[in-house]
This record gives sequence, structure tokens and C-alpha cells, in this order.
Amino acid sequence: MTPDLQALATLDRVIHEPARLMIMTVLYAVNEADFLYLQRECGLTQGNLSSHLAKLETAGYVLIEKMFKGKYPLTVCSLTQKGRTAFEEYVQKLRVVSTPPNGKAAVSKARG
Amino acid sequence: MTHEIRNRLQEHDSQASPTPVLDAKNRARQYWLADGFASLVVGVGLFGFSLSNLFENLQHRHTFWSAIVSLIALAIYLLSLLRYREIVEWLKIRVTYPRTGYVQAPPGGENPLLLLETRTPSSSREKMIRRFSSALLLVIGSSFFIFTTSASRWVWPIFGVTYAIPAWLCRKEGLFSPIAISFYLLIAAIFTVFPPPIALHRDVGILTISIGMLLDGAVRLLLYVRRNPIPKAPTA
Repeated sequence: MTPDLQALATLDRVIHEPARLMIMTVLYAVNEADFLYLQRECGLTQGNLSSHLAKLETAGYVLIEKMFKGKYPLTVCSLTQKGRTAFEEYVQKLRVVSTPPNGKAAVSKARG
Repeated sequence: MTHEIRNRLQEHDSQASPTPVLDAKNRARQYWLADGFASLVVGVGLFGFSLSNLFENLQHRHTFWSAIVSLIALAIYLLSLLRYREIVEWLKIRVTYPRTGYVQAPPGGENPLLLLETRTPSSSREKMIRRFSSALLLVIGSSFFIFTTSASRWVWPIFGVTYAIPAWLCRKEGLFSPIAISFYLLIAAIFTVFPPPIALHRDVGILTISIGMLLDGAVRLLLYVRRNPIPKAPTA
């Protein structure tokens, strides 16, 4: 087995699930977002989103806070530093697998 | 040769299609403008500013009431200028967040996504955008100077086109809608036929921009409210 192929086996299973990957992608791109925004962006049902957020929170990837904006209650979610790093590592591993041999130099050059 | 062309095409394709992260970031940034409140607040501020100046210029004799109207218009302008973010946020809390949720996009200067942006030539693109914005500001500034100093009626089409072109170019970023662009062109056409006196050029120009923004914001808000009713069930 090549090291590149072995990288697939070490993919983070918490992030690898499609719904959680969507949630992580949205949260990685923003500072914070509330439950309703995430639900609309990912196209998930309330129950589905709740359960996936709970799993991400248990893994320490997502921080969930209840807060008020004026009188409007919000369930605000944001990525923790651990979650951010885990997502970046996950993307890098996938990139290694998906980049063609001649594109590798460009990727490693871009990484600096 | 064929390999080279294919590689270039693949490179072009990967640069043309943004990653899901960039897509999400852009949507979060455009979310601020989606409901029209940002345009409405800026429009109200500019409207107050131009109205107070226009009122001063039109009134040859200063009365108590003319001073009061000017003062109110000026207060509206200053309020929208100094408390822009708070006012827009206050409106969003009541209308936007219950409908489509709350998101805080990353600030423009910071770029925490560099690691994942290797597919897009971010630095060259940013440089190009910066150069383009500077050139655009220069063109708008110069055209506004000509506009306020020249009595020719042909300054109006220049004014209309100068504001419609950047508005058209920025439409994908969600900054302007076709409503504002059409409005600027329509007003320019009307004032080319019936030009106002040169003393009022500046105020009428700013008033036109403000009405365009108000119109744009109001239409956006109406469409947004219509498309996004408040969800019935509790969200969390």
C-alpha cells in the first residue's frame, strides 16, 4: 500500500460524513452562524442538523452557544481551533489523494 | 503539445470554479446586502444630506421652519453615517434573522482561508480588484467634479453611464441590482432633456443616487420578505 493510499485510512471519520462535512465547510468559511442559517445552507432538517451538531460538539470541533440579539434568541455555532485544524488536515489529505502527479509540485509550492 | 493544452484547460477550469469554502464565504458576505437594509440606510443618509443642501439652495429667505427641516435632514444623515452598522443590525434582528438566520462573515482584510484557496489565484485577483477599484474611484471622482462645474446638459448622460457601469460590474457581488442601474440611466436621460440649473447639479446628483439606493433597497426588501416567510416551528 502506498503512503498516499494509507492517508485515506486516516481520514477523520467525524468530518467525513457528508452532512457534517457540509456543516464544517460552512462554519470554516464564516466566523459564526446560527442554527437557522446552517439549516438553510446545508438543506438539512432540524433533527438531522441537531444530531450532527451534537456529534461535532462532542468531538470538540464546534462550539454551540445560546445568545440573544435584542429579543431574538439565537443558537450560534462556530468552529473551535481544534475543529479548524481538523478540517484543514482533512482537506489536505483529500487533496493529496485527488491531485494528479504533475499537480503535486504546484500544491506543495502553494503551501509554501 | 496536447498535454500542455489539456493541463492549461484544467488549470483554467480549476481557477474558474471556486471551492465550496469560498462559495460559502461569498454567500455569507452577500447575506449582509441580501435584504436591502444596507442600501436603505445608506440611501436614507444620502437623501437627508442632499435634501438639507437642496432645501438651503432653494430657500432664498431663511425662516425658522427651513432651518428646522435642514437640521432634521442633517441629523438623519449624521445618524446613518455614524450609526450605520447598529441601525442595519437593529433592522436585521427584527426582520432578517427570524426568517433566514444569522451569520457573521469574516472581515474583508483577514484571510483565514489561504490554506484552502490554492485553487484560486487569490493574490493576483485581489491585486486586480484593488487596482480596478482605485481606477473606478478616480473616474467617479473626476466625473463628479466635471458634473458639478459644467453647465452642459451632456454631463447627465456621462453621470448616468459613469454610475451605471460600476453598478453593472458589481451586480454579481450583490452590491447593486438592475433596478438601481436602470434608474440611474433613466434619470440621466430625463435630465439630458430637462437639465436642472448648474447650482443644483451636485445636490440633484446626490439626491438621484440616494433615490436609486432607496428604490433598490425597498425592492430587495419586498422580494426578500415575500420569498422568506418566518418559519412556523421553533428553530432549535
